[in-house]
Amino acid sequence: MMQVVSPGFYTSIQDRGRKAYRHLGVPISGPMDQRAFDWANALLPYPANECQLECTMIGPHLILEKTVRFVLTGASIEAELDAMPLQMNKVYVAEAGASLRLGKMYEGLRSYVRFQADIKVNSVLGSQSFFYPITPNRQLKKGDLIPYSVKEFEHTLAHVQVKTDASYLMHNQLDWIPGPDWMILPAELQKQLLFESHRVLAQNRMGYRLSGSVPFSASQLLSQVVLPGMVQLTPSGQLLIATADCQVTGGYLQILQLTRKSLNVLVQKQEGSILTFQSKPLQKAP
Amino acid sequence: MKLASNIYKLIPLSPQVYSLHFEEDQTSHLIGIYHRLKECLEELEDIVLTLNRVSLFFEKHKSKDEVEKLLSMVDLSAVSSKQVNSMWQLPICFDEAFTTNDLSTYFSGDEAKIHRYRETFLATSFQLAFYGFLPGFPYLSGLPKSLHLDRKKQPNKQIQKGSVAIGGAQVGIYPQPSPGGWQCLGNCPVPLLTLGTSSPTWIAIGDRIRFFSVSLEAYHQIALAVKQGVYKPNIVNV
Repeated sequence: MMQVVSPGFYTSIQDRGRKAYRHLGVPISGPMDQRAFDWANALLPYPANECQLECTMIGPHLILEKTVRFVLTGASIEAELDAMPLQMNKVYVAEAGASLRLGKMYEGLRSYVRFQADIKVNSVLGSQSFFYPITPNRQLKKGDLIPYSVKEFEHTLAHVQVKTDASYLMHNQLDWIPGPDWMILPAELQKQLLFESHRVLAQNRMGYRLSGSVPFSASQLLSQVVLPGMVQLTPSGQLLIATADCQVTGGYLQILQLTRKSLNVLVQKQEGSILTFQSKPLQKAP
Repeated sequence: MKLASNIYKLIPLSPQVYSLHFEEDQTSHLIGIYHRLKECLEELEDIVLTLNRVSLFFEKHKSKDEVEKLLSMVDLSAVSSKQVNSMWQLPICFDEAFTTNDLSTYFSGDEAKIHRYRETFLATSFQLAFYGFLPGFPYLSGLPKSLHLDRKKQPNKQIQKGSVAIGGAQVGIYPQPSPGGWQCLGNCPVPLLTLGTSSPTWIAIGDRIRFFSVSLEAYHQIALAVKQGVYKPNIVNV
């Protein structure tokens, strides 16, 4: 068991998500920062169970019952294993009964903890990713006991920190391609939207709300498919960028689509961060 | 008959996602096209229908040319003949405990109008056009023009789970409590998503639905049976 002494600000279990049920209105979920998630899986590729903890803003405090390897990726986070300070992107061994205490983040908003273990939470519609009410919980709670199994643990030599380019956590310019409704927007409004800075007003796993001063009301739009990374223009001029838990359909103007790389940049931003879009699309069409 | 490229416009959303956009007068064929594409196209993670688009989610990146080539090979001749849709009966309870008096407000308390509205609604056969908005939220088409209701100017903070509601020309059933601006008509105790069973839903896209009115007592009996996992909506032979 993994005992949740404190859950942190918002910690959920994520695998790659449920990708085959959008036609029933079910969001895909999965990691917000795909890059950090993939990196953690590359550092600890076994077992096949891909569950990780996605921590937001403040990480959890866990007691680990069984000896297990783990690694931290994504936003750099204050972390201690039985009072020993930990580095990012380095594999550690937590001995049976160890206390893993994660704290605040220095740079970025979302950190990932990958254990070399099978995390045993129920799979619903082919995924263990938390998404309420498809799964019973949306986040870890104090006192939760999460079962996990480790295949015959063998000690090896100590691991070293793996160098990774974490500079994306500091980027604030977003790459994009045109969305389906981009051409509906008059040229001068397109220009203005790409020129001005946008402040993160609010965010959660469903999306990011950004400030903007381009009010544009299109006549009645039909609900269309929404993807993570889709930049939608609301009638008030604010931008709504869809992320992992976004609704599968929506009726706002779909103006831009962020590249996967830029979506990873976005989801590491806290409220108050300032972002801009590149002045030109990355390419004409994907 | 091949899927002629002049009846739709191909819109790239991302390197893995493409939408086929149809003009509105072709939407009646769209359910057939949707099912046919689902059968014929390989390497798809998912395929999603909305009112005038079919969106293809590929497992891997695809160029626009590659997608156009795949689509040009789809034979649509099987669409209209092979497709069999079921007709389902779903309970609806008009008890005022559920409806936050939306119809009453809409018709300024005119009982005769409310009664007539409900009668016409129960006599209507709907088609499940697509799922969207929330997990298991069905968009039902087929609402007669006389029953169209404008959305609320000020959306409700919380619409109850099970609410059967009207937004313009469309009918939906709220699978969970949610903010929303649709006019609530009554409540259906049967959720459309059936998690934990072999198939995640009973009612397929394109299936027909008719509602039948139940008392508050019958509503609670059905809700209990649903909770115990023993309820199955009626299917009618057509």
